[in-house]
Amino acid sequence: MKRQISVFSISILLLLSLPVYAGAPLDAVQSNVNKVLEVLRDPKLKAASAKEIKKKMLLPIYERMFDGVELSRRSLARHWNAMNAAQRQEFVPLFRKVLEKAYIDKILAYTDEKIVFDRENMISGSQAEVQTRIVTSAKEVPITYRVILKGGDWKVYDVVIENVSLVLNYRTQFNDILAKNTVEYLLETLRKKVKGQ
Amino acid sequence: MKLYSIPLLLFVFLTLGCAHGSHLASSRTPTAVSLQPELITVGSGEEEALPKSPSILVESESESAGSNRTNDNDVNLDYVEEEGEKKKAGIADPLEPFNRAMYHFNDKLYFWVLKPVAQGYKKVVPETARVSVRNFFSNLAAPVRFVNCFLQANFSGAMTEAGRFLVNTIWGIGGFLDPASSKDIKLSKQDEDFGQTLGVYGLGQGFYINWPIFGPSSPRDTAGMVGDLFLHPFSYLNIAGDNSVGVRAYEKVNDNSLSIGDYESLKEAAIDPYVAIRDAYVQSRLKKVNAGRIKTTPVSTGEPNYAPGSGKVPEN
Amino acid sequence: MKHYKVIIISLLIFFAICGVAAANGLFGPPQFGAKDTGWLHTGIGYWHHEDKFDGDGDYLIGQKQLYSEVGYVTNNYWDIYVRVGISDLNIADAFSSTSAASFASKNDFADNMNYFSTFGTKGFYPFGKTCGIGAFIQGTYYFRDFTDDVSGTRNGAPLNIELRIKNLWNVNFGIGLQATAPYGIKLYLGPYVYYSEAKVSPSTNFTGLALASGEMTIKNKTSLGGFSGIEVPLAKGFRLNVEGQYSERLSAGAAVTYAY
Repeated sequence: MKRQISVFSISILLLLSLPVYAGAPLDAVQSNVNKVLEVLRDPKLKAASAKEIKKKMLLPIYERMFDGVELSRRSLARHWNAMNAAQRQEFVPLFRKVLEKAYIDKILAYTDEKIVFDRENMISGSQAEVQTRIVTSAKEVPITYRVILKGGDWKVYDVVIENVSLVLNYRTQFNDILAKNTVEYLLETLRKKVKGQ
Repeated sequence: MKLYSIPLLLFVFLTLGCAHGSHLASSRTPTAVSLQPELITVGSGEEEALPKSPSILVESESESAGSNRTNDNDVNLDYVEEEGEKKKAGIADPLEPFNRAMYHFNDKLYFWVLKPVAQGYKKVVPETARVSVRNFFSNLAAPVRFVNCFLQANFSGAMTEAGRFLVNTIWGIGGFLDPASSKDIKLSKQDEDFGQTLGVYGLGQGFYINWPIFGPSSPRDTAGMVGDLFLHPFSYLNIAGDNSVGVRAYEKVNDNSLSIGDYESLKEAAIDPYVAIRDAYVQSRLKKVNAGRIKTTPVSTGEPNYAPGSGKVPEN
Repeated sequence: MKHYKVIIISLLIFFAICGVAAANGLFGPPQFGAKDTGWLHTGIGYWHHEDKFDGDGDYLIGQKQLYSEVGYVTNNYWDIYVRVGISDLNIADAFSSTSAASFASKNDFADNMNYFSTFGTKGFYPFGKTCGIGAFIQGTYYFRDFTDDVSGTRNGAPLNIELRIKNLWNVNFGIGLQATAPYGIKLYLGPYVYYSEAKVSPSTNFTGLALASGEMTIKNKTSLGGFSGIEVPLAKGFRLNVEGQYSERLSAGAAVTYAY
C-alpha cells in the first residue's frame, strides 16, 4: 500500500512539474525564428524561382508564431468593437497580407545576419517580451517580440523594431483613417494595397 | 489509498486551473508609474472611456479548458484596453497641411536626389569603408552625447561616452574603428541629444513639425538640434572652413548609403505613410526620453520602475 | 615549487637567445600575434631616446616622442606597421664655442616639435609553443627641419646663428628572441644594428662652432646595440609593452596596444 501511494504521489508530482506553458516565451519565439531561418538558409531554395515556395513554407510558421487576431484587434483598438463579425473575419487575413507584402522581400533578402536572443521579461503571467537583436555588418537592430500566452502557446502580438511598436504605429494610422472614413473604406484601402494599387 | 488520492487530485486540478487563472492579471502588470503622457493632446480626438479590466481575464474566462480555441471564438472578443497600457503616445498636428506638403517634398528629395547619390556612392565605396566613415563622424559627435548625458544626470553614461571617445580616438585610428563597442570593452554608445535632455526635464514635444530636408521634428526637438550645434565640433573646428555644410552633407550621404531600403520598407508597409512616419518618430522619441528618465530616476520604492512593455529592468 | 624553478631556468636560457630591439620607438615583441577576430592592431607609445652623434666631435642627442601606430598581422608571422608621431630634439652643448665669440643665450640645441613617420615590418618564426625568433627592419623619417637659434657677440658685434637639422632619418635592423611566460607575458631581447643621419645647416658659417662651420652631415657614433622588453596583456584586449635599448646610451619607452 505504501508503495502504491508513493508511486501515485510521484506521478502526481511529475504531472505538477510538467510545464504548463508550451515553452518559456524566449524558447517559443526562438524556435519559430529558427524555423524561419531554416527555410531562408536552405541551399535547395536559393534560386530566385524558389521565392514562391519559400513564401508558402513561411506562412504556416507565421500562423504558428503570430496571433493574427490579437495583432489585428490591438491595431484597430476600439474600432475593432465597431466592426461586425464579417468585417473582422476579412480584416485579419487582409492585414496579414499587407504585412507580408511589405516585409517578405526584406525577409527573403536574408543572407547571413546573426539573430541574437538577449533576454525575456515577464510582464505578467501570460505576457512577456523577448528582446532580440539582428546583427548585420553595418548595424545592429533591436527587435522586441511581445508575446501572449494563449491555449498553452506563446504567440506574438506585437513587434517593436527600434523602439517603434508595429501595433501602435498601425493604430495611429487606422485611427486617422477611421476618424474621417468608414470601416468599409479602410477595408477597401487594404484590399487595394494588397493588390498593389 | 482512496482516502489520500481524492484530496491530492483536487489539489492537482486546483493548481492547474490557477495557472490560467487571474492571480497573474491585475497585480502583476506593473503600474505605469511616473509616465506622464509625453504629449499634450491627441491629434484625432479619441476618448479613453474603456473598462479597466485586463483583456487577459476576459479571454481566459471565455477560453475552453482545452487548447481548442477556434478563430471564431477569439474574433468575437471585443477589444478591451489593458490596465496599465501606456497612454496613447500621440502628438498634436495643427500644421498638418504644411507637414504633409513637406512629407511629399522630402519624399521626392529622397527618391530624386538622396537615394541616387547614395546608391552611386555605395557602388564605389565598399561597405567597411562606409562603416568606418560613419564611425568617424559618430566619434566626432561624442561631445554632444557626453554633455547631454551629463545634463540628464546620467553620469555613468557620460563616463561611458568619455571612455568611448578616448579608446576610439587613440586605438580606433582617430575614430574610424569602434573597438569600444567590442565584446571585450563593452562601452556602448549612449544615444542622447539635447531634445531628449529637454524631454527628460519635462518639456513636452509640443506639436509635430515636418521640416524640409531635416524631417520629422517638434519645437522641442528643433530647439534640441540647435542646442546640439553648439556642442558639435564641426561648428568650432573649421577644418573644412566654409565647407562645413558640405562635410555634413557628405556625412548624410554616407549614412544613407548604409540604410537604403529602410525608408522604402516603411512606405510599403504603411497605409498612410505620412502618419506612419509621424507616429514612428513620436514613439521613438518617447521611448528614448523615457529611457533617459529611467536611468536618472532613483528606484526608491523598491518596486520595478518601468513602463509596461518598455522591457527595461533597472540594473543594479 | 619545482615547476616554478624549471620555468625560471628555462626562461633564462631562452632569454639568452631571444630578443627584440627598438631604435626609434619600440621595436615591440617579435611576434605580435593577433586574436582570431582580426589582424589589426593599434597603439599609442611614448619613447625617450638618447644617442651619441658624430660630427666633428661627439654630441649627445635626446628625444622625447609620442606616437600612434597601426599595424597589420598576417597569419601570425608577418607584421607590418606604420606610426606617426611628434618628437623633439635636444643636442647637448651644440653651441659651445671654442673661439673668442661668446654665446650668451644657451649651450644646447633644442627644438620642441617635429613630426615623424615610422614604417616597419617584422617576421617571426616560432619553435615550440613558447619561444621563437624574429627579425625586423624599421625606418623613421622626420618631415620638418629641427631649428634653433642662438645669439651672442663676436668681437663686439652681435651674432645670430640659426641651426637647422634637416632630413633626420634612421633605419634599424634587428633580430630578437622571444619567450612566452605564463599569463601571456612575452619577454624578448636581441641585438640590432642601425644607421641614423641628419644634415646640419647653419644660417651663417662660424668656424668657432663645430656644428655651424658649414654644411655637414652628422651620424650615429655606434651602429650596434641591444634591446630587451616585455609585453604584458592587460584587461579587455589591451597590452602593455615596455622596452629598453642600449647602444651608446640607454633609451626606453612604453606603448599600450589594442588587438582587434
